Amino acid sequence: MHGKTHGNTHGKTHETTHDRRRVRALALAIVVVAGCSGNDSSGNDSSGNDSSGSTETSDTAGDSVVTTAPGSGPTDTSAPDATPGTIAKVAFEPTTLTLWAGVTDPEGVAAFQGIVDRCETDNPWLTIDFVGKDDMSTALPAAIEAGNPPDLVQADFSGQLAGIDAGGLIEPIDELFARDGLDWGAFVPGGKELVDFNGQHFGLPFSLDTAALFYNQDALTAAGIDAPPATFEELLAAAEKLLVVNADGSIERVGFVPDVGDGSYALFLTQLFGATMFSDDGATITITDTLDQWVEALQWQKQFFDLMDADEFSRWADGLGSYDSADNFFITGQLPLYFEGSYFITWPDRFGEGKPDNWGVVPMPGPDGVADAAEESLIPSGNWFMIPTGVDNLDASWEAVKCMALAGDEIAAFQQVYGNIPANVAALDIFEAAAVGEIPEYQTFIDLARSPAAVLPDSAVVGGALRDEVTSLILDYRRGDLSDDELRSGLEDLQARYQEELDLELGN
Amino acid sequence: MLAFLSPWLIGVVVFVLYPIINSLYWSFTVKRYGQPARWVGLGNYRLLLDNPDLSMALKNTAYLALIGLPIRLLIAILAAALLARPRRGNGAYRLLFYVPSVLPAVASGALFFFLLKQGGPVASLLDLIGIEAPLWFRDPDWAKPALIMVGTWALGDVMLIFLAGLVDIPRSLYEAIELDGAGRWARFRYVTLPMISPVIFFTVLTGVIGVLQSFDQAFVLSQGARKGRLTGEPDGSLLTYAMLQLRYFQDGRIGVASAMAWVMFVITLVITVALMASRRRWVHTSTESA
Repeated sequence: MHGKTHGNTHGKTHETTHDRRRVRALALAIVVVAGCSGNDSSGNDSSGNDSSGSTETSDTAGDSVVTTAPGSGPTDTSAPDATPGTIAKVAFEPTTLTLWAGVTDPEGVAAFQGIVDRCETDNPWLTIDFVGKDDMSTALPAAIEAGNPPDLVQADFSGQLAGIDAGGLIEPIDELFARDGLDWGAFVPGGKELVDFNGQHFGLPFSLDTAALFYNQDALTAAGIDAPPATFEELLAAAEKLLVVNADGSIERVGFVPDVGDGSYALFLTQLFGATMFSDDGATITITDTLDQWVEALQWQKQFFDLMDADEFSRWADGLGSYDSADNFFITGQLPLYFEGSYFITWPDRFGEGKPDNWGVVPMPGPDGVADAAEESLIPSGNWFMIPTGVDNLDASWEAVKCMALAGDEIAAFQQVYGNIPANVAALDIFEAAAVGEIPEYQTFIDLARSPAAVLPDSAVVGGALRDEVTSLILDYRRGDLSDDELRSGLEDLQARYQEELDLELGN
Repeated sequence: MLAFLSPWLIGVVVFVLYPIINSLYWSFTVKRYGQPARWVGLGNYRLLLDNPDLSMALKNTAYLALIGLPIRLLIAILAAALLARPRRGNGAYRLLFYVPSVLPAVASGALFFFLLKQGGPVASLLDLIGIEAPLWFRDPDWAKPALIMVGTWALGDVMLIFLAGLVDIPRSLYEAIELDGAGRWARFRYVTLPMISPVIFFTVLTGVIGVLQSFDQAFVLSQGARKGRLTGEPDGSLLTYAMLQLRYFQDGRIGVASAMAWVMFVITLVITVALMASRRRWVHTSTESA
């Protein structure tokens, strides 16, 4: 979500101290000494984020040589008989890597620069040229097609991994990950799933847009509701109690709706009921396999809209203030129960006035009750670091990706700006210690992020178009334009048509 | 001679011909960024023709062309006729009419979104006189008329072309017809209209092509209905270019997007040829006047 920022900023602030240049210029060969363990199950790496990976600088004939001792080295250029656990010599010449990141607003750029600086400090051979990009989804494929990709990328391609895989746009990192003895335990489970498509991982996770239910306690109390809803039944009952309809029939306040009529969470929330859209390999559309779950999920969503007159709800939604402003409907109290990502926590401060006096966050109720940390986290989107195919120096890019994804303090500081949840465990711990004291509502998202199970969008190469069409169908159904049977047949029709499109795309 | 032309020729071949031919080839393939194209013959075209949304998008685009464009041209001609008369402050009036077309379509879309939303200035004014404002961009019955209204607001460019055509009409023609006792209507019908018919032809032709490429304004105006995307909301208001831009390019499906582009090209070509063929019947040329 922090890709939703403004301006295109070349955010690099070159640190050009004399000593640093000297180190870079002279560090023509970096000797990487493999750790005795060979495999560092802590998941730490040569970025020096952990004591298992130390960085030191020594003088050799008057020149500085950087010697690192990570879990293992990036490229083994030692004698053929070198074995794991013994000395492996790896050469890194001073290298400048271009990083495209979906961070462009000044505050974000300044915070992100902290991560960049940290990696440059830990890797003196490395200079990162950080370029903020707003149009990543078009710019990156075009750059790769043109044979001129950036060396690494930070972006949110949630739900698009099938296309990335089919186009071979991003390097799977599994071999490099295993080679360096990294451990997915360094990341929360949802982070691993974020970058996973069909068993391959396309980068290292950076942040999670974990979602939960925001509530306005004042509104709840005034409506005679003591505690935020913890079950579906309580949520529906609360929505009914909180609904305020004026004498002329117009709606003053809506209690709860899955989204404010734009369908933005309509598809994602169907997954709470077990509805799926694509198979794991993205080759099959699975809507009809879980048709009952789809219908059940959409019937559940429709209940909230059925509490109101459809036209009046449209008028209410049409009159809402801008989503990303102090006039946001939750901030103004027009929607006191609101399903949204953790980044929303930063809204009141970011937009100044309008902060609800008494607000909180609880996990979104699931069909069987609260989807708490012991069950699953709901992650509609997230960001990760990745390496485009065709980069000049894969190993150097990988070192940079590892370093950035595993930074601790700097990631924690960055995520406090945007309110996303760090995906690496070390940064999450720091974030928890730093952020929760100031904003206790973060705790719910942090607990959810640590959940062993996660719900994320699935993916196929026709995903964007199919999601649009299914969402349109859902909006029709919610408005009452379609019966349950018509909804079923509509979903079946879409499945048939898009399976044909998918087969054509994949050559099946 | 060829040496002098070569910079232009190279530019045309590299930046015009090559992409055109390439997109034609890709329209018969499955092509994704970063991957070589795979030949699928007419597969993409078959999928498009089987897609019920294509006919809906074509109908909506035709609606804008057949209803929206004539309204826009008519108002532009009327405005140009008013502004062609010598009067005090004409420069300021012309400027006022022209300024809206300087605004990018996205900016004017955002402006109208604010003006027309529930609780906005227009709805408040209507409320004062006891009229309930329609849901301009959420009601399928209102979405296309509202889009036409916004498009008509920014008619300065067309108005300026008509104005140039009108002030270019020789006064002697009006004097001659007035001597024959012609009234206002006759002057318009037998002098003004024939003399500006080449301008009308030009604006119709470019207007139709512009409508076929309609996307940005509709995209911005529908943001209230669907956060982030427009692919046919409110229900049944999908436009052809939106279908191309969002449905296919967003998924990186360059092959089917190219096929869609060629379908639109063929439609544009047919309309252009038809207009060109009809030209002799209604467009007055300088040869005729000579």
